[in-house]
Amino acid sequence: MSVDVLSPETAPPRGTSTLQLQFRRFRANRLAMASVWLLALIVVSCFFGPYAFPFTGEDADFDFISAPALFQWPHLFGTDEFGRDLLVRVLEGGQVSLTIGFLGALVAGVIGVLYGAVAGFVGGRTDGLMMRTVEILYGFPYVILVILLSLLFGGGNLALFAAIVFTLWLTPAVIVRAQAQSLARREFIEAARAGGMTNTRIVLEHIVPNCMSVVIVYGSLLVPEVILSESFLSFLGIGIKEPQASWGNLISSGTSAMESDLRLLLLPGGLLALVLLCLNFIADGLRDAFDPNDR
Amino acid sequence: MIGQGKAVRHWLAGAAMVLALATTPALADDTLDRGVGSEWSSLDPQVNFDGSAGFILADAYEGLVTFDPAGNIVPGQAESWEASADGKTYTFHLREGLKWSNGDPLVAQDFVNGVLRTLNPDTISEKGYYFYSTIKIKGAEALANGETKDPSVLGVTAPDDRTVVIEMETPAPHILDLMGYFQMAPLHSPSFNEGGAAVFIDPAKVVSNGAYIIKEVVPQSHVLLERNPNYWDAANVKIPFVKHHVTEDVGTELKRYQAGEIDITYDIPLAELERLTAETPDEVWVFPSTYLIYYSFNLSNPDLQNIDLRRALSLALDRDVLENKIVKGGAIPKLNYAGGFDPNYKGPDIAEASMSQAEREALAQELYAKAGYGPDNPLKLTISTTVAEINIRRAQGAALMWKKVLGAEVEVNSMERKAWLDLFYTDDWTIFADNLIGDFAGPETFLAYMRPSADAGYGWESPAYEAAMDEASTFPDKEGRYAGLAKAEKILLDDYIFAPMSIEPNRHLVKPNVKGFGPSAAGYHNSQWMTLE
Repeated sequence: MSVDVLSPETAPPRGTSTLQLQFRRFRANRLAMASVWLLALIVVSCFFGPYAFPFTGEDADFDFISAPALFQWPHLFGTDEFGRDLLVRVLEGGQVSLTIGFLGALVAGVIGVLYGAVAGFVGGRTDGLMMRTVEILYGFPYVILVILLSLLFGGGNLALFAAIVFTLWLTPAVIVRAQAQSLARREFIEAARAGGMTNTRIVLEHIVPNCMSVVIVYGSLLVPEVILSESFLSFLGIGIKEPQASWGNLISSGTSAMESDLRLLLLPGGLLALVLLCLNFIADGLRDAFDPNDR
Repeated sequence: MIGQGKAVRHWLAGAAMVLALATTPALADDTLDRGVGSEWSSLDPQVNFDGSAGFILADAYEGLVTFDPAGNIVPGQAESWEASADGKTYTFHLREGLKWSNGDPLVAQDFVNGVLRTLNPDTISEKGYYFYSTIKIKGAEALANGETKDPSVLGVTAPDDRTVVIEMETPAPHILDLMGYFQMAPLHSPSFNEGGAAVFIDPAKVVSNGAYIIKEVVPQSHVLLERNPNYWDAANVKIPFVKHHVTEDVGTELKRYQAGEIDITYDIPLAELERLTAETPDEVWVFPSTYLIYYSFNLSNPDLQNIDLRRALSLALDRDVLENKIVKGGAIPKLNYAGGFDPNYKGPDIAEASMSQAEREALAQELYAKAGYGPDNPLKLTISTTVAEINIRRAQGAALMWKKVLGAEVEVNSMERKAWLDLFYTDDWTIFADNLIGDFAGPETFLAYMRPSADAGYGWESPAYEAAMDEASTFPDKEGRYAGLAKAEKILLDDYIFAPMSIEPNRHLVKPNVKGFGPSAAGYHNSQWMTLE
């Protein structure tokens, strides 16, 4: 595929920026593009799908308890053991999982990038102190941290979000710091400094943009990681709490009825697996596109 | 995470056992493994108020009477007893040569000391009400509320080493139900005076009088019991060791049962109940219990102070759908409080009983609106329950019904059993997924617990109820007594301080090689009756 991209027929016309070039390479990756469309479809149905139904996932229909999946309106995939529509719950759960996934990755990414860029650029004792802090935080047991934070925030989505962000910003910080460290010694940074640019502006205008391709690749891997953490914690019962749905707690309640009704596990589990696969293919495609040396 | 830790511990325990077996000749399984659900909250026989620990203590301690596998009263430490003509005085004759597990002679005074310690306010035992409320032993109330410290006022006396006399203020036909280990465990004063309450969880120091002695206590894991050679009937105790395992999660418990790690489970996962009943009907035991479920309303909550609202909440629940279609645990839905245990007790007539569910829901909506709530101003409440699957499911079902019928926004807050028990006394709850395990299958055990003077912590004041209960307790015969109790129950139900829910059955899986397990409504399953084949 790389040969195609760089062959003379498809060689970019003059004036194409690196970023455009990279996206062109990405678009040529069929698997990644198919994943993008599928993911978009899932995201759209999760956020708009539930409006098509006359009830929400927290409304029970006691006349149809544990209805099987007969693909009949209104309970297309049947209902759960409380008479709540399974499909709507899975879609609403998807809203929560996807929101936490993307938002968590974004926030963790921003914190990590800024922290790493500052540490790498400033260097010296500050860098040492900042990176030791990161290492100490790395050593913190994840689940205990989540439990502590949920005690602190009184449980709920905010605690979960904080805990996920708190643990996941560390890796981008380390990666960006390495990148920033090598950038800090480059001539154009020297030039910027000689030209009178303040340190803040150098970090924001030179260091951060130059780390972007690494960040995008890593960030795309961060999203599935966050979704998986959310599901994992909700599965353990310390994440999203009933009656609010998330893929994690839907899978958790699905597993408890696994031997009698597999449907309750398959729908949320299948959707979660699909989203994770899509995100990983996209991340793979991005890495191929952004980092040709790596192949 | 936690599961993994346990698995490692089991592996270690397994490895240790293999080592032990390597050095001793191979032997058949000599340990009965029983699940007790949540961790015991106390192993103190005078303090424990918990069914889980009750299984353990039933093996370790014996009262004046004990209970056979079917739950019938049989002689325990007392070989015989008789009642006076007015039904107010009972005389128990202890067996000859009774001993404590350490060989000390067991005397009648030890039983008196047990009651004294239960009643002593310093013990902080919840069980005092048995002696001054469920039955009214002379002087018990004065001792319990600290009016006097003089043990001689108590109506439980030991005229000689083998006689216990109990004098009551009012006749109580149900006294024998309260003479088992749960209320009437004797106290070994020498060890208790030396080590205080800590001796009860210290296998090296604890002295007991039951068929088994406590050998090992491992928090969050198990209590190991060994046959007590000094027990009067030790010759008929067949199983040398009994291990009571903590089995907080029913699903995990089932897997351990299927793997052969547990012989008698504490419960059966609801989702598997139907399948297991179809596949292994001999191993599934589901029978009525004295486990009453009701949702208590916090009367100090400003919303719930409104009686119309409380009634609306109670009416809005379709108990039939909740228990039979959502929870599916075999519980018997009910609208009253003390009925359904003794078939002779008819209970009061209540308006709800003759209404259809649609009528109840319509009335609930009307009362809800009258209390000032509606779509713009929904009621917001939290149900506090334990992490047990069945409780969570019932609470979620109830929350959904309140949402559907009334539009109330109800959250379910599930927590560890101990935290849930503690929460009740903090007053930091709105609806408490409450339950009460009656001490015998009759209405009085439940109604006595609700007496404001029993200090069960509901913050409910009702002199009328007290008076009705006092009046009922003057009847020595069941018929007159039950009519009086029904009047009291009417007063209780009309205040809607809780929503009655259902009677939970006992559900156990019992391995086919375990014999001697029976359907005891009060949940007495002493290991001493069982054998392993």
